[in-house]
Amino acid sequence: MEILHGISVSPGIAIGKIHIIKQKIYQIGTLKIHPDQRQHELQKLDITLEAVLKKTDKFIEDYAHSPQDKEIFESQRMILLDPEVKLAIQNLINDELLTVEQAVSKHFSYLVKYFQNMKNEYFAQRANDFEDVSHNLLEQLVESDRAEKVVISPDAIIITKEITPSQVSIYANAKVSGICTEKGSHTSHSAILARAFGIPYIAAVPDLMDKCHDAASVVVDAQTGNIILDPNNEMLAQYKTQLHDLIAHQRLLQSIDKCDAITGTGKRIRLLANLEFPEEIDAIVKNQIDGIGLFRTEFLYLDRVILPSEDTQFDIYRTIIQKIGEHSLTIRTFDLGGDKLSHILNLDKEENPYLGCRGLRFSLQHRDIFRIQIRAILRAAVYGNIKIMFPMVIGAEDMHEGRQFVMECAAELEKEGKDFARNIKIGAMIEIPSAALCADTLADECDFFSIGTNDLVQYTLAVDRNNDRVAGYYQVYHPSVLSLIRMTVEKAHAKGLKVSVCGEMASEKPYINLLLALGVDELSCNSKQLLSVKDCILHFDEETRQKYSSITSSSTIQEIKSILNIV
Amino acid sequence: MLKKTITVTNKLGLHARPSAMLVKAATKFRSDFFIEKDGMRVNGKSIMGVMMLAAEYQAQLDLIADGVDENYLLDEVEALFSSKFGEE
Repeated sequence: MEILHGISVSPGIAIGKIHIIKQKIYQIGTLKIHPDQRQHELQKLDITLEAVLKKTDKFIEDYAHSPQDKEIFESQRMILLDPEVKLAIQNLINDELLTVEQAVSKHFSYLVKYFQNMKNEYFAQRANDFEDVSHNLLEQLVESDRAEKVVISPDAIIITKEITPSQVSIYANAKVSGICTEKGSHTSHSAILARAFGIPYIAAVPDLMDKCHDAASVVVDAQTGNIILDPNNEMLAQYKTQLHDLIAHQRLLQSIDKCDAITGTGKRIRLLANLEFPEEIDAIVKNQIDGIGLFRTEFLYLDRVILPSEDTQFDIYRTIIQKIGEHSLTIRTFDLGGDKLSHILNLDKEENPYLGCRGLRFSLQHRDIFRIQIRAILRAAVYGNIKIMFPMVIGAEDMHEGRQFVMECAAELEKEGKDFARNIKIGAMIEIPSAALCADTLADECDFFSIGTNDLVQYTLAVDRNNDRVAGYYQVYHPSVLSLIRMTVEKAHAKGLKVSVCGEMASEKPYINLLLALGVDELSCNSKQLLSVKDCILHFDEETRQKYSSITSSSTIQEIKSILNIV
Repeated sequence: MLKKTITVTNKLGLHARPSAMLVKAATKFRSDFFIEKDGMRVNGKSIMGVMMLAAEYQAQLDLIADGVDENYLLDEVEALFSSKFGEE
């Protein structure tokens, strides 16, 4: 028996057999493109070739020290620069309507086979070079590599170095019991997905790959972050009991799935789910929810070779809204700064990105990019109840500008004779303290507010919660934060606006009580927490309300902690 | 258009390194450049094309250059073959 330790990034307990994943295989799909899309694919090819060329140069610089090594990579460089290689791929895109991924894969498979079949051993070896280039191109194109196609048994515990979001999706479908990786972190997209799928996941485990052996028995305790290799009988029995209790608790929560989220004081709370990736939507709609309270759209822009087109975005939004029926979908426009888009835009590095050009400010300064998203949302909103939400709003002025811009885009669509939603609701994220302090005037420009507690706390207390040295100061229950939330709710209600909360505060029990006592109308949380949040709403009675309402801006941290029952 | 027939004289034939040298040399010129072997014709400025020829020791190749600087191109390429690409 040996115990490894990592960071639990998705809670739960899993007992099973180790399944080690090593290989990378790209899944590139078989759907052909529309002739109109050819230009887009050709452009993508150019950008990809250039990007991989740059990477190869960097690789040569970093790793190829001997002249022989340099020569090997030099021929790879030349393949990337080869006009005939490019032409062959372009022809496949133009004539056979392949996506660039399919075209690259097809042409290089042909080349690899061609060389492998050569009788002269020396020439046949060149197949490797083409294979390597093909791999690099596909890696660049398919933003994340897909899992190898092997049969994975349901009690498998996936052990691998790094895991991509698409791999998590594939393993979730294969119903694996748990995941452990040598790298990774709590905030990675893979971790978010694992939480959404309810798969226990421990990341950042040193020496994981060396210590694990295929098919060995293992317990993944993602409550504590422990991985127990070859557990003894006593340990195994203890975990079986724990797992049993955990499942029993889940069942109990399941029993409240169908009832409405009404508090013990009789207030109907709208229970919403956060959505990070479109892939999660199928799992989410299985719950009884009132909609999606926060659909983050950054994934559209990150790790992309080119920015997503209006039609691509339109398709994504429409697919989601059609899946959630009459419920609402709140789309948060992209919250990115120049640092995240440096691969596409040539922008100067900012000294302090957190206080820099990001969120709505960035969008207003890059209207060409912003326009594409707004137009896509307006068009998709024809299919259901879609709302727009701006991140990082400072106050009434920038909100007004953002709203004006939406009207501008609507006017364009009108002129072009396109179908779009005319009365879309537009709201502001309350995450900069100024927005809360000026909630009164801001409300005049908004149809709703949504409090993003994570950033609101960071900006109010000037604390980066990822910085270990000050993480202790990150107190969501700080009286200053509570004052801002109270102020936001009061001003909003006075103007007839609803307030939702979509930060992590909306999914932890003592804070839910606090938010409900403060008068919040909607809670948006991770889909896995929907039931426990609802459980909390159902148990919120008059007594709880009075207890939590006694917290005021003049309460001390100690008083607040004792009411919230936090150590 | 100019055409010359040459024989591969280096023992290992047109493997990766000589192919790269050949393509690099040809790419410096503006003229089009093709290589033919046993009826197979490839773009001499394409590493893929040149390697696909799999031209071994003693193979006969037709070098075809077409353009304003075709002379210079062929001279340089021919010199590479004569030098056996610096091998042996």
